Amino acid sequence: MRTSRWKALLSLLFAFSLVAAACSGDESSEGSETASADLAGTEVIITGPERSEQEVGAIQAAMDIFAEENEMTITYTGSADWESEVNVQVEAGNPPDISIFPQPGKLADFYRDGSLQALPDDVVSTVDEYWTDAWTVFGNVDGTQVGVPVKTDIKSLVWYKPAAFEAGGYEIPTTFDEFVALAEQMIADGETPLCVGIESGDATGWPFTDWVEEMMLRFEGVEVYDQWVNHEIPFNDERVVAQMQAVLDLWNTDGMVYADGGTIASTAFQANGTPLVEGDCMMHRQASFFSNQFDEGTVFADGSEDAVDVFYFPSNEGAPVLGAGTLAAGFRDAPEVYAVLNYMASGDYANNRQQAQRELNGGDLSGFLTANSGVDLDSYAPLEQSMISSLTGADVVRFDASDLMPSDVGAGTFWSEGTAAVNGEQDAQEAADKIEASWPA
Amino acid sequence: MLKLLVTVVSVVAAVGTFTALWVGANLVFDQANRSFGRFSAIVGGFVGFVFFGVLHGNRLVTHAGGLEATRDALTFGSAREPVTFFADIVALLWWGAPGALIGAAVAYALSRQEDPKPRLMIGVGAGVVVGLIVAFIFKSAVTPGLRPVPLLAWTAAVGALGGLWSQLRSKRLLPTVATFLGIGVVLGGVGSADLGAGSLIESIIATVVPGALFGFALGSTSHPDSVRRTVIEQKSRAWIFMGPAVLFISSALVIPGIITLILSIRDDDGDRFVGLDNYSRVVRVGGEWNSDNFDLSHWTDFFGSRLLWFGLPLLLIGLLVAALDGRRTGRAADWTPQSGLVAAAGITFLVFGVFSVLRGTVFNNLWWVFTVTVFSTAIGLAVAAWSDGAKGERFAKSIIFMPMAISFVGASVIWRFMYRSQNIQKSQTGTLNAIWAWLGAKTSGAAPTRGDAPDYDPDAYGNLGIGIFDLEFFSFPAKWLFVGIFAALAILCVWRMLVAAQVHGLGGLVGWGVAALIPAYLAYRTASEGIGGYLVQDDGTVVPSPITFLETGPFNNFWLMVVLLWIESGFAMVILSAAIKAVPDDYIEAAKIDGANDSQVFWRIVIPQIAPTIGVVVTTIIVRVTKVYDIVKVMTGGNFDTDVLANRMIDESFQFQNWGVGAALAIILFLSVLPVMVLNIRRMQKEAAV
Repeated sequence: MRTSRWKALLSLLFAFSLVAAACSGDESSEGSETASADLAGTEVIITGPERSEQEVGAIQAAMDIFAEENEMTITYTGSADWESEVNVQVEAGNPPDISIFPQPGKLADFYRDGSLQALPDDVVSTVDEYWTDAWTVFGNVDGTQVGVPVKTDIKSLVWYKPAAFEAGGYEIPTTFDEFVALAEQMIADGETPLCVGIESGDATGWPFTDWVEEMMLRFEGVEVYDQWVNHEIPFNDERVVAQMQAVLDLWNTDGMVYADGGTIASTAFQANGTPLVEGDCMMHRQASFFSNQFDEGTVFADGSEDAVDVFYFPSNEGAPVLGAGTLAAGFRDAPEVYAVLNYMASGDYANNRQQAQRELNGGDLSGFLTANSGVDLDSYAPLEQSMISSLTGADVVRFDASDLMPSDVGAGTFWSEGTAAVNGEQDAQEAADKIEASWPA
Repeated sequence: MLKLLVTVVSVVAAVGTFTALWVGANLVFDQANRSFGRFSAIVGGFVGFVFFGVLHGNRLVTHAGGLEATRDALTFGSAREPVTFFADIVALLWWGAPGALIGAAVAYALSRQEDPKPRLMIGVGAGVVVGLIVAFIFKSAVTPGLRPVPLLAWTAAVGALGGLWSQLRSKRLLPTVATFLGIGVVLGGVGSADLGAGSLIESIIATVVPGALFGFALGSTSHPDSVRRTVIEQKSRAWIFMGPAVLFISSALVIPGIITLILSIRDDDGDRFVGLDNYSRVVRVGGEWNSDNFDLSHWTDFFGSRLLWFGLPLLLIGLLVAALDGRRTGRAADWTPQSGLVAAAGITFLVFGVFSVLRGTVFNNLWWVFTVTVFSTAIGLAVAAWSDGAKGERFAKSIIFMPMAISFVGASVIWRFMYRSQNIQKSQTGTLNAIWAWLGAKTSGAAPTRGDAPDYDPDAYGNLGIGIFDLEFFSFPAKWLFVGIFAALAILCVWRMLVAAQVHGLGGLVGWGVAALIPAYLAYRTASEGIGGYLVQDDGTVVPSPITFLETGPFNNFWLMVVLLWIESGFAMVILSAAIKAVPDDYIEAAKIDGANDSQVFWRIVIPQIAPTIGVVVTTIIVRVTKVYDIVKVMTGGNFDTDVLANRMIDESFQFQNWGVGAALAIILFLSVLPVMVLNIRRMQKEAAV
C-alpha cells in the first residue's frame, strides 16, 4: 500500500517536471533576419480586387520578372469577393502575404488591429523616392508608412466623342456652369447628354458616391471635404445633403440621362460605354479605368470619326482632382515579402506592368495609370499620357471619400442608401440621415 | 511536391489515426475487466493528452514556451507552410505527451487505491498541479483580473445548479456540487474577468481552485468493483460507435454554433460582453424600430392598398358561400373546393397587402416563407394530382422537376435575363419585358396595322417572330384579336358556371364566377386603353415601357420569390406525386362505388392520405426558404428593399465586420428554423416508431 502511494506521487512529480521543461524553452530564437537574405526558393502570395484578364495577366507578368531574377515564386490572385475574403482570411489567422488595397481606410483598420506589418526603412525610402507626398499619405497610418502605392486612377474625367461634339457644334466646357449649360443645350437639340448607371453587383451605388464627392470638392472645397471624410461634420450636414440633392436633381432633369437598363439603378456601370460610342448619349463621367469597359475595337483619341476621348470634369474654381488607387501592404514579416513590396514601389514594377498590360489590352490603352515618377511616359498612349500628367501635376488630389470612410458607410450605407435615393425611394435628406445613423460610434 | 506530400501524409495519418483509435478503443475497453490499472492508465493518458492538446491550441495560453519554440526549432526560422505543418504536429505531441503522462499517472494511482482518503488526496493533488501548470502558462495579455462579484455570483449560481442536479438525478451531493462549483469558478474567474489586468496570483486562484474542485470530484469516486467494470466495458461500446459521428458533428456544427452564440453576446470586435445588446440592435436602434429589419413606417398604406380591396371581398364571398352551403347541411360552414379556393385567394391577397406595406428584412423573410411555401406546395400538388396517370405525365414532370437540378445562383442568373429591362429607345431583350412591350404595342391601338400603313415595319414595335400576332396578315387593329380571346375565356368560365349551377349549389360555381371576372376585366381593359408596356410619346409614336422588375418595390420581392418558386415546385411535385401514387387503390375504388366524384375522391380520400407527406414538404420548404440568400445576393444584392436576414447576416459579418450583430442575426435565423426542424424530427421519430 505504501509503495503504491509513493509510486503515484513520484509519477505525478515526473509528469510535472516534464511539463515544466516544455514550458521553459523560452525565447530561444528571435528570428527576424535583415532584408538582405537570399530569396531563392521563397514563395509570396498576393491577393487583390483587380481581376480582369488583362490586369491579372499584367500584374503576374510584372511579378514573374522579379521572381525569376531572384529564383522565387510570386502568385497573384484577383477576386471579385476580395473584400470579404480578406476579412475572413485575416480573422482566421490565414492571411495572404501581401494584399492590394483599393481602400486606405481598410488598410488602416488592418494595421491598427495588428494584422499588417509596418514597412522597413529601406522600403519606405524607395516609396519616397518614386512617389510624392500627395500619394504616399494614403498608405500612412498614424505616422507609420504601411502601404506602398502601386496604381493610381483619376476619377475627374468625362468621356465623350470628339466627332459627335463637332457635329453638334459643342465646345468642351471649362467650368461646371458651362458643363450644365452644355447639357441643357444638348437636350434642346434633342440629344441625351449623360449616360449614367450605378448597378455594380455587391457594390451597387458607387458611381453615385463618386458624383457626390466630385460635387463636394467643387462646391464645398477641400477643407469641408476632409471634414466630411473624417466625420468632423455629420454626414447629414446641410452642405452634404445639398450636394447629394444636386446630383439627384441633375440626373432627374427630363431628358438628361440615358440609362441603358431602363433606370439608372438598373443600369450596370460597365454598360455605359457602348451607348456613348453609338451616340445614345454624349458624355459619361467616369474614372480613367473605364477605358477597359469599352467594346473591343474602340479607338481612343486618334482623331478618327469613332474615337473616344476625355476632358477634365470642370470646376468653377481651381482644378481639384478626385483620385483613387491601390496600395500594397504586407501581412507577413519576412524578407521576401519586403523585397516584393520594395519592388512594387519602384519604377521597374510600374514599367513592367505597363508594358504587359498595354500588350494584353491590344497595344493601345493599358488602363494602368500610375503617378510613380519612375514610369516611362513614352510607353503610354497619348490619351493616358495626358491623364498621367494631370495626375502628377494636380495641386489638389483627394482620395475617393467612400474608400476612406469606415466600411459600414463607405462600402455600405453610402452605396445602398444612395442607390435607394437614385431609385426614387427617398430624397437626399432621408438618405443622409440614415447614413449618418449608420456611422460606427 | 511538398504540398502533395503533406496531403498524402495527412490523409494517411487521418485514416490511420481513426482506424487505430477505433480498434484501439475496443482493445482498451477489453482491458476494463482484465487489468483495471492498465485500462485506467490508458484512458487517463488519453484524457490528459486531449486536455493539453487543447491547451496548446488555445489562444489564452502562452505560445512562447511550447508551440512557438518548438516550431522555430523545427522549421529553422522559415515559416513555409509544409514545414510548419509538420512542426505543428510535433508541437502537439510535445505538448500532449506530458499531459498524457500526468493523466496516466493519476488514473493509475487511483486504480491502485481503494481507500477513500488517499484517493481524495491523489485527486485533489493532481487537480492542483494541473491548475498550477495552466496558471503559469497563461499569456500575460490574458491573465484574468478577478472581479469578486461576478466570480462569487457565478460560483454560487452554478454550485446551486449542481445541488439541484444532484437531487434531481440522485447523484452524490458533494462530488456533483464540487464539479459544478469548479465550472462556476472557471466561468466567473476566467470567463467574466478583466483579461490582461490580473497578476500571477489571480491566475493561480482562477485555475487552482477549480482544479482542486474537479480533483475532489474525481478523487471521491469509489473504486469500481468487477460488476461496475463490466458495466463500464459494455457502456463504452456505445461510445466507440458514436464517437466518430459525435466528433464530426461537434467540430463542424456544435462548436461553431456555440462560438456564434458567444459572439452574439459580445461587442462587434468580440472583446466585451454586451448581453443582449446585439439582439436589441437588430430590433430597435435609438429608441426607434431598426428600419433595416422592421420598417413599419408605411403601414397606413395598407388601407389604400388595392390588395386589401380585392382580398377582402373574395374572403367574404368565400365565407358567405360556405355559410350558405352550411345552412343546407346544418353546419356552421360547409366548404367546397371552390368556396375554399376563393377564400384562400382572398387571404393570399390580404397577406400580400400586409407584406407590401411592412418592409425590412424580417418582414421580407416572412413574406418569402409564406409565398414560396404556399405556392410551391400548391403548384406541386396541383401538377402531381392532375398529371397522375395522364398522357405525357413523365415528360411534364421531368420539365417541372428540371429546375431542381439548377443551383440557386444559376437560376438567379437565368431569371435576371428574364427580368432584364432596356432603355425605352431600344427593343427589349429581357424575355418578360419583350412580351410585355409587344403586348403593349399590339393592344394600345397606337401601333399602325398592316392595312393603314403598307410600309409598316413590325420590328419597330417589338417583334416576337410569331407571324399572325405580328400583324403580318391582319388588316384590322390587333387589339380586337386580344379582346376576342379574353372575351372567349370569360364566356367559357361563365358557361362552366352555368353548367355547374344545374348540379351543385353555390359552392360548386362560385370559383368559376370569380374566375370569369379576370378575362372579362382584361377584355374590357384591352378594348378601352390596352394592356402591356407602352408609352405614347408627345409626337404620337409608341415606345415600349418596360417594367423594372428588380428595382421597383415592393413587388420586386415577389419577382425574386418566383425564382425559388420555380425551383421548389418541382421538389414538392415529385414528393407529393410519389405519395399520391402510394394511396391504396382500394380506398379510391370504394369511394367511387359509394358514388364519390373525382373532386370528392381527391379532397376527401387522397388529401387526408397524403397529409403527412404534405407536412414534410411544407416543413422542408419552410426551412429552405427561411435561409434564402443566394437569390437575393445575385439578383439585387439586398438593394431596393429586398434584403433578407441571411444576406444581412453576411453583410454585417463579412462586409462591415460587425461580428456581434452578424452572429446575433445568425442565431435569430437558427432559432426561427428550429421549431420547424423539431417538428419534422418529431414526426419522423413518430413514423419510425409506428
